Amino acid sequence: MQTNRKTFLSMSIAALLVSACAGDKMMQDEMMPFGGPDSVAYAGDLWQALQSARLVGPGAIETKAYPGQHPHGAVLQNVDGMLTVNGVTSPVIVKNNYGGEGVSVENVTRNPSQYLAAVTVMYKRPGYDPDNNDGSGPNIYRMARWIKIPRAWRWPGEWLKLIHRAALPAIVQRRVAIWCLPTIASSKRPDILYRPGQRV
Amino acid sequence: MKIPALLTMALLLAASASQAQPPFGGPDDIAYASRLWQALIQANLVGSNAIQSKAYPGQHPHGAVLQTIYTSLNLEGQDNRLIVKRNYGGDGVSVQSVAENPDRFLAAVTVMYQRPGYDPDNGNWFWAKYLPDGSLDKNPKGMQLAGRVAKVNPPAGCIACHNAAPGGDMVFTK
Repeated sequence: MQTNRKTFLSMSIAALLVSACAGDKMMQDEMMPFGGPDSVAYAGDLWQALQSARLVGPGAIETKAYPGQHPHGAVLQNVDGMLTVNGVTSPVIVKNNYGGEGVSVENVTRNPSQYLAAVTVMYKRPGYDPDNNDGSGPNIYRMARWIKIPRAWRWPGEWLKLIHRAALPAIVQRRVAIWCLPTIASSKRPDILYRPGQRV
Repeated sequence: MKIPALLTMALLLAASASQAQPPFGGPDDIAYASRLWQALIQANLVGSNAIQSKAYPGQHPHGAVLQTIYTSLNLEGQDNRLIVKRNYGGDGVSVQSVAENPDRFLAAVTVMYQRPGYDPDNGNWFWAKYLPDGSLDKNPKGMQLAGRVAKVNPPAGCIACHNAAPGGDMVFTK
């Protein structure tokens, strides 16, 4: 009887701890519009899908480089198309941001990997963030989300190592908070895209 | 007596074979171009689901506005270097109008695909000029633009122009 009570007590405590952890995780995700565990995990899935589509990573397609500006790179490459992530096919925009000493359109064209500073990605997830935005029309994004991927994350191994470091989401948060949605929102376009009529 | 006859026949056959395979636009080139187009569709590099890239001002003989993609493509078990250029033109064409509606202004897709051993004199490039529907464009003589375009005398077409590219690889933009 004594043993049963102890077992019951232990199981209850364990259950409470598990649910507290789960609740904590859910709360964390709810309170963190970005940089939360779900967002980071999803970014990992997204990166893998981008690699499979040869939009990032070794052997990725290259496109015409052109002059860029803050907060992106001094030189950019841009592609957009459709991408399947976790069984959902949606529009994606991938921007390679180039910078560093000696960066120029010509040098990036010759040796893109030397100057690659970051890859910024917008991937549309239906119903994910209707506030940004919820316009109407065939060419409208109902959701857009920027995920800043530092150069160090470029290869899957490093990516996996880094997402387990607690400090990293904070870096991502700060960058996203400073640059992405406020800046993109200033485009004053209902699809929150700067390139007019971006086909997706 | 039989040997000269056989030799004559062999020479005739060789002559007809070389006639059947001009440097471009021959049956083999056309068939290969068709397989290449299908591979390009599969890789989302052409067709209705093609990825789009930054449009920029171009010039003759390509389009007034261009998009260019550099990558590699696996065709028939070989992964080779590939350059795909979308050539835009027509009334009202501009970088902005192409960005808004690329399909409306797409005039042609020009492709360079490097095939080991195919044309050592000219970087082993296979050249093709497709219309938006994937059919091959033709020159004024009615020859389809696929293959060693145009390895002829006097030099003309893709090879003649791209020979002037710096770097010795016949690529102007990379």
